[in-house]
Amino acid sequence: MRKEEKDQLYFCSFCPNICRINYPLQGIPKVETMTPSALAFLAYSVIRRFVDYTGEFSDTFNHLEGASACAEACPYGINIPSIIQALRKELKNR
Amino acid sequence: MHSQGLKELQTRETEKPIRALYNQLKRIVGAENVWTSFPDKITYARDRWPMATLKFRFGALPGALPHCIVTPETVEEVSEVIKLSSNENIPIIPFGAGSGVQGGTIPLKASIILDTKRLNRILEIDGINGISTVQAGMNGELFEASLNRKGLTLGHFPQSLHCSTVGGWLATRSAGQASTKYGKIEDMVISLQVVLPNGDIIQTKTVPRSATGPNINHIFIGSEGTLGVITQASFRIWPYPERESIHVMEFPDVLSGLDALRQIMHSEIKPSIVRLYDELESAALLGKSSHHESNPCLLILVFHGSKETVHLEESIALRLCQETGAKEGTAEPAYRWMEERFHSRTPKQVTEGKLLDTIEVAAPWSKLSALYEGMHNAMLKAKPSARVSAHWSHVYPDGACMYMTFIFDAPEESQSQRDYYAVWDGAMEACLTAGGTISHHHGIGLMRGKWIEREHGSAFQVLRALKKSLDPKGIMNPGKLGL
Repeated sequence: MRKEEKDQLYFCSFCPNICRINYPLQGIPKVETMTPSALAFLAYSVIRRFVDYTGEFSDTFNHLEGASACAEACPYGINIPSIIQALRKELKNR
Repeated sequence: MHSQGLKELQTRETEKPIRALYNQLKRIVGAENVWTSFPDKITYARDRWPMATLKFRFGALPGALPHCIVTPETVEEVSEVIKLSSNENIPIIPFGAGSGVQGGTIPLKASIILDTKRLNRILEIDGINGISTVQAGMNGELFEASLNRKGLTLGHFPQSLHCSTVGGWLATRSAGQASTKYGKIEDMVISLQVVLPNGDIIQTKTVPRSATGPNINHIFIGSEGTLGVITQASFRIWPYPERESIHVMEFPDVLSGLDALRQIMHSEIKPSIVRLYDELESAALLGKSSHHESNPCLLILVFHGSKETVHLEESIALRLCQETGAKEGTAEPAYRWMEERFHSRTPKQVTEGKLLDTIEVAAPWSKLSALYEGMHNAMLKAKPSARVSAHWSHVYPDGACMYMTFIFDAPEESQSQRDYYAVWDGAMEACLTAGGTISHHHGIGLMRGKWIEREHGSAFQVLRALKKSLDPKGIMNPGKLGL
């Protein structure tokens, strides 16, 4: 994973999800875990090895629909789903 | 506060599944609306309290992991979840969007988090009576945008507008940037629907005013989830303003700016946005490291309303500013502020290894100068290398809110934590000594609980009695609001 992507994960982890106005009102679960900032922190925790990368994390990283919708509203131009997809590839090879 | 590492907690997680509780919750809200994974629990173990941010940076928790998260869709489901948590003696914490900055939603022990975001419908927009009814989990900006499409506005614009819910505004007694004209959230509410800690659903009456005893709405506004769960509210709404007028005035110093604001408020006019900055914040607003000109303190004034009203109000306000030594500057700093007024400064500061927090207090006009000096000095004494600055907004005929910001380098956890609490201790002590209130609009949460008894004095027994009467088992968001 590129340093720029890691930096973006870290930045987004501590943003209060100001992009959440784009989170779909219907169709997908309204749970905080699927917001960009939450996913960014979970991914960051895996990278920093604060946590073990278990099946629960893998499942969580499969649900990127809400965060994908939010990416368009990110004022900083950060796309968390694409960073997490790159991370998942890397984790497969770990 | 003892920090718990995430890895240690992850190891322990597998030891104690509480399937009976999960199954009962699933029967109430459906299996797909009960969240029990470790990543879910981590996510709901924080809000945007800077101490939680510091802990998370280092892979630790500010409190405890919740048992689980539930996402009910109806008020009846909320009621059933609360009855269950009461029967089982399990704490329950209402959660909107988690944008609070005082730790108000952080679990201190294994709890049920009740996320309100599926309660997200606008039930009525009534332009004739100027009333809109909305469910508590509705996103703030989406609510405002719906009103705007009908030529209306609520007039509530907290910095967290895009990332907070209507229920969160009510639970924390929120104030928006245009509060001088439109009022604070408590001025906007007409009626509430609340689920009490025993599961009863109550609905207050939607009428312009009544003299039928104390206002029951006000028991729950600002109660931070400790007395019940707000599930719905009716608000006063206004025609979308015809005109907006923006000015920046430059003052020789803070005191002359405060004097002008006092006179503006005593002239019975209501600018919507009023923001007076000290020298440090003025320089930052201008994009400079320092600002040494003769009038270094900036005041942003924004007026909203009909053409006639705005013209009259701005002419009176600008004259009063000029009479107290101000000159009109370019409006560029105001436009720059407006562009970013719903953004958060935290992520940038965190990536630079810094810790940033804000402390908003309020006092009568005659005490503001001593309040500023006392708090500023106390905060710098506690952390001499900190950058401490202030602005004044949310003004009233009798006083104003003072919003202090401090930033310092926080390269590691334990010393940064000690410094953080030292700055807060100094600030709160100085605030109480100067006769200010310890919070204007961020609330109490976890952070300010230890000062709330001194804030209220003997009147605090009323809050304690309310808590004991409404929530005798103490299941509603325990440890918050000093309760």
